[in-house]
Amino acid sequence: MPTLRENLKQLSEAVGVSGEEREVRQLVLSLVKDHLSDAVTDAMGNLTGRLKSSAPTGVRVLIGAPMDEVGLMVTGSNGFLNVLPVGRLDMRYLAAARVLVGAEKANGVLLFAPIHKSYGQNDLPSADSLLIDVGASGKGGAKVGDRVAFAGSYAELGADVVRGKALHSRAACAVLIALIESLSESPLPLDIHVAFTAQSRVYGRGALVAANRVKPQAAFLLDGADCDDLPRLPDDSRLPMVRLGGGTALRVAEGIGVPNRPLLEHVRAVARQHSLPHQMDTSEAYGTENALVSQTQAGVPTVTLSIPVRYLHSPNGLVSLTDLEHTQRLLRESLAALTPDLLEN
Amino acid sequence: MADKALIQALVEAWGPPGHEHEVRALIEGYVRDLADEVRVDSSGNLICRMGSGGKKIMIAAHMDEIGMVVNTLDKPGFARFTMTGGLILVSLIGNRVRFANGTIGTIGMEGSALIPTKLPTLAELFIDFSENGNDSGSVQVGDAAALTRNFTTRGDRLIAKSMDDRIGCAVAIEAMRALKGKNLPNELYFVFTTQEEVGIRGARVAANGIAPDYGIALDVTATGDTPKNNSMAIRLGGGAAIKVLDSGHIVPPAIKNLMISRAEAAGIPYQLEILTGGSTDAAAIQTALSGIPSGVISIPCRYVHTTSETVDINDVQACIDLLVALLAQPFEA
Amino acid sequence: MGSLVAYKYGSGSEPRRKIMLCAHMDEIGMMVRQVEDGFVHVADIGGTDSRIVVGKPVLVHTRTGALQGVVGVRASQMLSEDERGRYPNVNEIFVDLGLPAEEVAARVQIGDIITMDVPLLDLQGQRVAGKAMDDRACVAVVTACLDALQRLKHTWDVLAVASVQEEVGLHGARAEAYRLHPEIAIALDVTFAPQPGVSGATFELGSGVPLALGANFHPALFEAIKKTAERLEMELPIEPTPMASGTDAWAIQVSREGIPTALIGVPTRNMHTTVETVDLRDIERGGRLLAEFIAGLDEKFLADIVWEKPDQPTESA
Repeated sequence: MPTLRENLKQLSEAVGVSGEEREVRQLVLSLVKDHLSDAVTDAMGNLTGRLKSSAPTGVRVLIGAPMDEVGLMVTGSNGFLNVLPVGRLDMRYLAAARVLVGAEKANGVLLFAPIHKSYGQNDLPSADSLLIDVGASGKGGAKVGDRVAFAGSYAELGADVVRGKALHSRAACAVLIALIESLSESPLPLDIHVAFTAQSRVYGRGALVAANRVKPQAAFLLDGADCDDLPRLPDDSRLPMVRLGGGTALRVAEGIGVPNRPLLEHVRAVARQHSLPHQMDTSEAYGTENALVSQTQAGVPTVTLSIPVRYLHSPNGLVSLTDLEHTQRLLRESLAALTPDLLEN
Repeated sequence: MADKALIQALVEAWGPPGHEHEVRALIEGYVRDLADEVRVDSSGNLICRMGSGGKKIMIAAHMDEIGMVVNTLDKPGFARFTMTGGLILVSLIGNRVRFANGTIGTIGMEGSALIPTKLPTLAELFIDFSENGNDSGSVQVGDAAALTRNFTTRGDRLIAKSMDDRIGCAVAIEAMRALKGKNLPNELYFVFTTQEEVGIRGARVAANGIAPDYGIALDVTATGDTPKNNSMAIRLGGGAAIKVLDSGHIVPPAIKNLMISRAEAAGIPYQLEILTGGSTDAAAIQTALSGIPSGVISIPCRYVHTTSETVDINDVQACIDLLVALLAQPFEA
Repeated sequence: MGSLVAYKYGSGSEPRRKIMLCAHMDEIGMMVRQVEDGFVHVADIGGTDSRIVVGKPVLVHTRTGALQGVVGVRASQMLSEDERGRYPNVNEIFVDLGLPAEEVAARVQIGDIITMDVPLLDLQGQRVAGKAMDDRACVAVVTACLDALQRLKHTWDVLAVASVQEEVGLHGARAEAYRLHPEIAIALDVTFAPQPGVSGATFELGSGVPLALGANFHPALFEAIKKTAERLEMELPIEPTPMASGTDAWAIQVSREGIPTALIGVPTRNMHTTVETVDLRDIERGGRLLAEFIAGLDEKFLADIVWEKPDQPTESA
């Protein structure tokens, strides 16, 4: 069985721009299919399934992890490729970026005017001004509609931290895969369904559809949290909220919805009881899966457990493997301690 | 510990760029009996050889200080000036300058006598040299001046104008004293250079003339240890600063590493310096002829280019010790 | 100073004439300025563009080996009003090694060099993208020239220099020109290819290696190289450069009593980024042009390229 570390590398290096998650999904399926019954790729591109080790009479739980990553889409060409963003891009990371174009993953680079000619032009560019060079004149085989992914540079930095692209979703996938393996080895008396969701970066709509299909009594969603344990301006004395290596980030606020308080307090209590590091994350800046899933059916108690990621929006984010392991344990222990009365308001 | 009387004499001497004669005469008095040979070259550099045979090493400390030259006379008793070196304009108002003949001038700013409400530009500043109501002009166009201020101390801190770079001169003289009478494995050229502040001119000429194998400059560096100053890792009292890089010079790693290993072997406190504004004589030595590998021992100094340049005497001693440790042994970079 | 010189001796009788080829091998980079709480603050060496390094992999070269890391910036939710909507400057970026702060403090020293950790990227056609094409692409041209000279007879000595410290002031070329004292010199450096945001003369990738014309270059040497290209029926674009070229040629030209100097460029897109893009055909063509030119140098070449011949016939000189 591949280790968490090996899975994370493969997952990070796979390409799955929102709306075209095929490669990631097929990789995930190859890793988990032995543990699932009635695995389905639904109309949105979500991969859902029920754990073979589930207890059909137990509480019906959905555990989700997003598969997709931000990127670009080819819209045309006049020598260089014109593109539009897929997902919310941090334009600070795009200058002279390396990209993979289309299903063939052709190498490309984002043009950047030399400093000799652009000195002092410090405003971030608009997305519609981005141009990609794939080398050949003309489109060089690229088609309108091709997805463009940012090329990362996966590496293990020291014993605990890895660097790579798309870690905000793939770390969640890696944790969910590890949890599936753990639950298959030593099952819990719950009816557990999993969803590797598509389009998390397109307003979280994949998870909505997955929840409609599974119709859970409770949902636990995995995600990535943007670390702010970084050098600050001299007059900024605020303490960081989310630290790399600081344990699972628990979302206590969300732009268009709030997590289920009893379920959140349950997870916190479990974390304290098992001395699992965790941190409260009040960021409004990311994710809407929680809000959408919680509003399915007549309302589903939903909580999000996030893995701290430094430089979340960059092609080279950092995660701590210890954070991944702690998150997997926290999720497992939270499930183990889940009782039906917790879900009755 | 380093000779404070020597330092005081050096920093209080007058020597704007191109007018280093007073400083040179002073230094010549100190070094005449220390060197095997003393000469002055066409650029006014004072070149002192110690020892012969072995690697030729040029050690440079500049004699000149930042200053100004009168370029226009204004109303009687007032002169406008141009800068010779990087004067900090905001520090000038109310400061005093000295001319070669001893005349003291005061720097003022155009406009009402009330507190200035904006930063001065050079064009708005003037030197007041008036003596009474009927000034006939003891100051002429072309006269050079330098800031004037007495040397003082506060504990281990030494405070004066022209620490840049008379403290480097002091380090060189102290090293010559320490090396006197020793059997030297290198041929040392202690060069007290001219016109560093206006484009590193003296050292370039001296390096061309001497054609040394290696160069070492002694100069001040800024610090990053004052409030809301995160510009660099150098702190006052942190030891001799071994330069890694400045805006005109990348020290060859072999030279830097030799300095580090000599400091570590002798237990001399040191810190590594990256300076993003400014350079030293070593930049000119390194690029002279077909290239002369050069390094810098820097003396950490707060408020560089003001009349209160501040160094720590322990750092000065560490610089002397490091220089002696480098020069007393074969130089293998 | 660390420049590398390859000598390829000619077949002429001694004392032989010398031509210096010069392409710089340094690249823009960064250096450790300060280490704080496990983060490495950086200083620029040679003109690193802080706009293009963010989020890219780097190596920090320590005494005990290179450490992998990434160039970080503050998360978007941490930014001050002033920082929004613009690129960070060099003081606002840092290197994150993903290691405990104590380990970073123990291993990383002020002054350690930082380089971009990116492989060469194959694009379609004959194009490649990577860091340090400025000026390794030209080092490759010199290499291609030396290779071609293996099969050509040449009477002059060829002194092929991979120079150091071009990006911080042309220091390596200045020193080598002084030391080697060649009769003529050809410097090579990258030049601009067309792309949005680049105004002025540009040269399309794969369209040949432009030869520069202007005060920094000897006009007769320029003409001689141009003639070589005509003989080879090789397209040779001209790059008008009225004053300073900003290349090694600038330092070489005024060495000692003056050295007739020329400059050949390799068209490059995205200069001073990690995706500097060149066309391999230009590199091959440049090498061939240089080799053919060198093979054509003879005893009287220097006499041929004097500006004019005042007073006396050349033969008696």
